[in-house]
Amino acid sequence: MLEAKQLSKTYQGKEALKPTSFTVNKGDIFCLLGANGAGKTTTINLFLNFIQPSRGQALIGEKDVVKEPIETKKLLTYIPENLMLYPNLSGLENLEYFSGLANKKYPKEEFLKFLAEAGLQADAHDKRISTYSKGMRQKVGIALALAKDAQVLLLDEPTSGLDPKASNEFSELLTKLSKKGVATLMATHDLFRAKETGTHIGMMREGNLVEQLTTDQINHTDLEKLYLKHMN
Amino acid sequence: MLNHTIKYEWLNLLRDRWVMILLILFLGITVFAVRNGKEKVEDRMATITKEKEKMGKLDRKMAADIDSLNKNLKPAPEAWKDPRALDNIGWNAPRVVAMDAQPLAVISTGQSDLFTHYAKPKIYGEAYTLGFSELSNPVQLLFGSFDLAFVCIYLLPLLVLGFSYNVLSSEKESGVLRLTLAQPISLYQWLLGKLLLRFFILTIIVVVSILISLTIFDIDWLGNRGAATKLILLVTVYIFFWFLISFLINLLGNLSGSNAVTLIAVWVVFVLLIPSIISQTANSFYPVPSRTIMIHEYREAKALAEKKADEILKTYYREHPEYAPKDTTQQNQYSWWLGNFAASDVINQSVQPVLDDYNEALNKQQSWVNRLRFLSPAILLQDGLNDLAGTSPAHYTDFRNQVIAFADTWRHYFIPRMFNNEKMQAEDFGELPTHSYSSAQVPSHYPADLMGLLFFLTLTVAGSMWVYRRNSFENVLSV
Repeated sequence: MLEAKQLSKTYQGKEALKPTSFTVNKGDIFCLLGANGAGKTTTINLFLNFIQPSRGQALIGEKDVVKEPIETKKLLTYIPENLMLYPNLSGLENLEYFSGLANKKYPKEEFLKFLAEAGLQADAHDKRISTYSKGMRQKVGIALALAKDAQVLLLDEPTSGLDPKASNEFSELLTKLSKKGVATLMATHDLFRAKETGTHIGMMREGNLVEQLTTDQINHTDLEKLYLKHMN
Repeated sequence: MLNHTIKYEWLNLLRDRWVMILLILFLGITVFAVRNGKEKVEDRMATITKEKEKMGKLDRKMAADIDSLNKNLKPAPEAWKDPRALDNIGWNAPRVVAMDAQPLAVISTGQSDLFTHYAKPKIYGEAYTLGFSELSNPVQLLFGSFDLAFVCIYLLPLLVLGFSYNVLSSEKESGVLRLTLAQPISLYQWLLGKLLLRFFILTIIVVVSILISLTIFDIDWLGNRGAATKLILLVTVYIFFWFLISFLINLLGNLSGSNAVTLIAVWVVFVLLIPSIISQTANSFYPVPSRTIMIHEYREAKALAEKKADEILKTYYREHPEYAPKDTTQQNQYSWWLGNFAASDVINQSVQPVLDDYNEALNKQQSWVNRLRFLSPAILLQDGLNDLAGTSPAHYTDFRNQVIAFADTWRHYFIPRMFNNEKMQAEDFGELPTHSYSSAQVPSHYPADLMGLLFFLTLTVAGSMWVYRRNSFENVLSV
């Protein structure tokens, strides 16, 4: 569903991402681990076509994101570390607005269902975003994924700054989406969540994808050891 | 997608209270501006009415006096006071040649605070020596008038820029833009949608404010729908131009602060710099010769001619045998005038070159400004509004010509009668030539001004498309 083919990005002579290849299939949750500046966000930005690859290709649903930006964006939902929405609009209105940009229109009840499914408490639906916590905003992002019927989720440290309960809820939502066949690419620092929720793990260092493994190959302790080995 | 963007942008704006503040602010400013314009126009019309009333009163008094004198009810006054003497009427009871205000004169002061709006040409003395300049408050000349034209030309662009300078950058700074650009949309269309909505809102506010203000001050815009439509069209295009400039600058993807500075710079260039450069160059390339020198030369020629009055009169009779006295035994009571009339032709011939130079320099300066006005939308709007208000330089030049033409008519009513040694009768007052003002023959700048503004629009659209093609999300999203 999601494929990097010798994907690389160079900024003013510095290689932020060295030629990297990996695949995320339907239902996979691919967790990118690595220190800050390892190239995780660059990878996600390349899939979003926010930046242009220096070489290689980023494919979503076998379509090149550079050549078909509109088509590939129909398939994906993106949740950044800090999902920002329009503070003067309610959660429901924000959801309606962003779904509408993706040309998805439903009756109001459907949107409310998506918000409920994403775990946002009912009394918050009509409140303005300015009153929302970060976790609540992330849930609107998940609701957007549901409304868009997204086949790909691009997550950039979505749980950083969330309390353990909110973080756990978020992970459960990811698992739920994964069962529906959504392919997820998630950059994270949370080794525990990566092992718990993820199906695959990739470790990045200085623009290199230095390790790829599946989570069932490794336990928590060994994962941490392996991570530290690569980082040192 | 455009509808969708506009719908939610509207919700967003409504909750920002921006729209209400803008509406009240602009309505207040417009009402004040139209009030100022109305005050000036009322002053102008009041002066004209007063002069016309004075003229009517004098006419009635003189007619009554003639009647009494003819019936010998009164002793005959000295010749120079006798209302039956034609020279007395031609000199002391001149007609008021007035430049009535156009229906929409309130919208733009234009040249109206530089010139008088009436003249009283007499049988003798050339009309172009009449003072057309009015002494006005120099402070006001320096800063201009706070009229509707000022509001539209100077303040409206600032309002547009304040309302739009950060449409893209604020979303970039708040971070919403990342989510927006992750949707399958075209940045160009999405941003255009947001700006179009703001354009519609502001245009409605502006149009409604203008119409309300005109209604408050009893200006019959409904009766002058054509001119009112032209006014609204011109202002709308101007507003649109500034929105497009803002659109273009937003597309560059810079931060709000940088957008604001860039846009203010564009405003300074178009609204302040180019107009002042044009006016400076007009003065240095085509200086207007001194009116004082012109009048001085005229007087010299006159003095010379007066010395030779007898000789000139003889030549004049040879050239105009119809005026030669039929009864040479009778002394013409206007003989002093006849010499002067004859001399005036000679004077005219000798001052004509001076007059031509003066007019040519004025024309050159005016046509320089006319051509260069296409360099700035602000000048185009000013020119168009003056055109609609009837306060453009062309209108005043035309009025001056109308005065000169009427002076000629006035004189030629009297000259044959005076050569025939006729007297004024009470019923003659109804037959005196009168002047009625019309601006129909003034060539309209409006179509060219509108086309010029549309040209600027096209240029800005092309510019924004060019910027969009060159720019990627990478530029827009990077901070």
